[in-house]
Amino acid sequence: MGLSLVTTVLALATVVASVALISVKLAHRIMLKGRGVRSAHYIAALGEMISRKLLPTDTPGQWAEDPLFGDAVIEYRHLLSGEEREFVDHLIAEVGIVDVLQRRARRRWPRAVRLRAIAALVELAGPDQVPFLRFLLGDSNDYVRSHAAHGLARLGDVASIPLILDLATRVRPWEAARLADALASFDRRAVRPINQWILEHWHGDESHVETVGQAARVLGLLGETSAETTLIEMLETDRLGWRVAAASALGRIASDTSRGALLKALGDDSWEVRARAVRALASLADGSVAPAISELLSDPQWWVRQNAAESLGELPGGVAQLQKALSSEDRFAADAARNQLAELRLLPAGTDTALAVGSREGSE
Amino acid sequence: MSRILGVVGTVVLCYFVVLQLYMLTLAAIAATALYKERMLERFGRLDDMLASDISPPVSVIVPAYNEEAGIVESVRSIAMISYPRVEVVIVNDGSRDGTLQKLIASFKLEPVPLPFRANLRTSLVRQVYHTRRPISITVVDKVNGGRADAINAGINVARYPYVMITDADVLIDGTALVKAMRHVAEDRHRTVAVGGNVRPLNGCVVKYGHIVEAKVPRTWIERWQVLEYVRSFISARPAWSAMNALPLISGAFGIFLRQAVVEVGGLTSGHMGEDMDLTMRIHRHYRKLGRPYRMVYAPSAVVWTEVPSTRAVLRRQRIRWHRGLMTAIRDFRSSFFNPRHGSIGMIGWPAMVLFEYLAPIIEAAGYIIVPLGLILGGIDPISALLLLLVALLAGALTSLAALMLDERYGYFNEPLEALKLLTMVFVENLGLRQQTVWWRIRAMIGGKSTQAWGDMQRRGVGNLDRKQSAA
Repeated sequence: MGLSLVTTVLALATVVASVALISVKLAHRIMLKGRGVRSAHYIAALGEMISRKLLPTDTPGQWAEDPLFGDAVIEYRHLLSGEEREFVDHLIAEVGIVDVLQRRARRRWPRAVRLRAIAALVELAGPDQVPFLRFLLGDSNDYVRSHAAHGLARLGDVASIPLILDLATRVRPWEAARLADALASFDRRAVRPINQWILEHWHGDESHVETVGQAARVLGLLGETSAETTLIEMLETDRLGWRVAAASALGRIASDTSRGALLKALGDDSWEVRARAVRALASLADGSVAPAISELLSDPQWWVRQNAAESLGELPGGVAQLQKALSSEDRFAADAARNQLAELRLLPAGTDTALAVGSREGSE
Repeated sequence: MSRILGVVGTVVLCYFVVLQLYMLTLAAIAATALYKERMLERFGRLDDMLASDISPPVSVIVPAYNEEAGIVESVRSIAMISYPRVEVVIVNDGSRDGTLQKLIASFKLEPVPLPFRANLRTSLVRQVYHTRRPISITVVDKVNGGRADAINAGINVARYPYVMITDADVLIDGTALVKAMRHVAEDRHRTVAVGGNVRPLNGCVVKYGHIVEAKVPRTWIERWQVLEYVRSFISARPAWSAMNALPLISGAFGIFLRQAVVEVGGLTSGHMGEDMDLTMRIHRHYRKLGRPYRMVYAPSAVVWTEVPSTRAVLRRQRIRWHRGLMTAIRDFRSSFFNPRHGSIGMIGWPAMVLFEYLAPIIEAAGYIIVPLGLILGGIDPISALLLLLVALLAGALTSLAALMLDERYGYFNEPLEALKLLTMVFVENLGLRQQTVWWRIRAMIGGKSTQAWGDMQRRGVGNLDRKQSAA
């Protein structure tokens, strides 16, 4: 009896699932077709409005409610510039699409609808939406927070930088890195508040250490020389994460001011700092540092030797140092030099290409 | 006697009910995992990762043996992958056709005495060729040693900390790498491997090295494999991944921390299931060291591969796969229900043993014992029929659930395509399934070994493109 019941239930479930599968496919197809037609319609209508500089007098109310209309507006906004872009911004305000998106970005909506609205909102929002985007930084969903940070960066709201950095101290490292990437979307006006935030949290607790490192990375990405003093100071601290971030950032800024600190960092206890300091010095394009870098061809760590060889390949006078290292008694230094000279097509014919197996620290 | 047959027959039928319930449970877990993945794909700002300086660089390793037909298009499709820092390492494993010559001519490769560290022992490397355009491409020409040996040579030459292992006959979706590497970036300290979603290329419309329309192939044998791949890659793997119990990362698309592969000694040459062997050795290695780790599956990172289109080739492939599984079962027997091996020891590996390795034996036993039991009167016909129906219907439900989950990705646009696969859900029980059981039993009995590189005649991605363009 029990088995018959199970069989019947399963048979019914199979029939229902089969019908559901085909129905879902049909519905999906109809939906996709409808979406294609609507998208084409919006793109054509918007193109017409933009080319004639005519604002619609009777735009159907549902346009603003349709996410596809928002997508079409975003596409045009990305494509256009100057007067045409201003017109699109004007259109956005007239149609009231931002209000619709803001309404949908609130928590009562299903997550997918909400996220889609927020993704569009950060592309279309004007300065009026800054308080709302700041409010979204406190959301429980990490995608929402990340989008909000990018929206604030797009609007250039420098005042929100400390809020984003504070948020980065409370989230997982992956999200903190993404938030830092959002900060890099700000222009150079961001350097000062980031610098100030670093100084304020210099002696902060452990939760701030990682974020200060991320902030230093952003300073490097922004490439502003005014941040150098802070970065050089970070390079001299006993916090490994800071020294690593500062060495990379100074390499990106590539200013002569940091040469001394970077040369000193070549002797750092951590291979991670040495590896980055070597690359940073290469970015200065100053041949006088080549002898100091060639010393690191004998470094115990593979990455340091590799970076030293790569840097010598780029620096004036570096190739001579690599050729000199070929005859080094240190097998690992000779390997690194040989690798780089081969990459540069400068390896003499008949050179032995077999490298020593393993590495000095047993780890690469 | 009839009583014994009755008991055994009932046990066999119950086994299949349990197997299908297990598959349905996996599908339910997979549904949640796929929802999270989909949200990430839509709203995770993956484009930012392409611009970020913290995206880890990747070496793509492509072993090639007699791949003259499609190697150039395959490398071009890899060169078009969207990712900040990537190099391609092609290993020509002593091909007897013009694979090497085609590569040299197409990419203007130069022989370079590029030194490399032979951390993994391989057959003799004859020459290394290199170019920096369009991206860094290195070709390692070596003496034939099999697929695993070729990959090991590629790992030796690779310069980046992550290696992506793939095949020369696959088409890689342009965003596959960034979608897979997102899992690494999310948790760089623990993630040692990421597996991708492999889909059959047969029947699809290919233009300029890209899939422009996914279609269900024409022959039953190919269609059945589409269904199999969907069940495996959409229903089972996301669930295993969610439990950190992935027993297998496919050789067609797997990203590994280079150091982890070197630490376990690389891929095992001559092993017929080298991908499963590598995955399990990494599990065992990290469990032994007590290091936190995870191996994940990225369903939205897709590669397309040509699957066998004839019965003879499919037979050889299945025999090779099952022998690979048998060797792995023997090598990792200590992981079977071993609580010290965590979720892989308690969930992933026992499932492989009970539902993959033993399934053909029990199914074959069922085909003999149940009819015998019915004839001799040891099994009640009604109960047997009902149990059989339960097993078949639960199996159909599992397949339907997998197809529903796959609909989230919407690869097949036409409802007719869905109908073809739906038909396959029921048709597979009318011979195809039984034939596979026989092939797997053959694999267990023994016989002539299949070649280390497989022996499928490739049409080649480029030829597929031209053929379809002409049509």
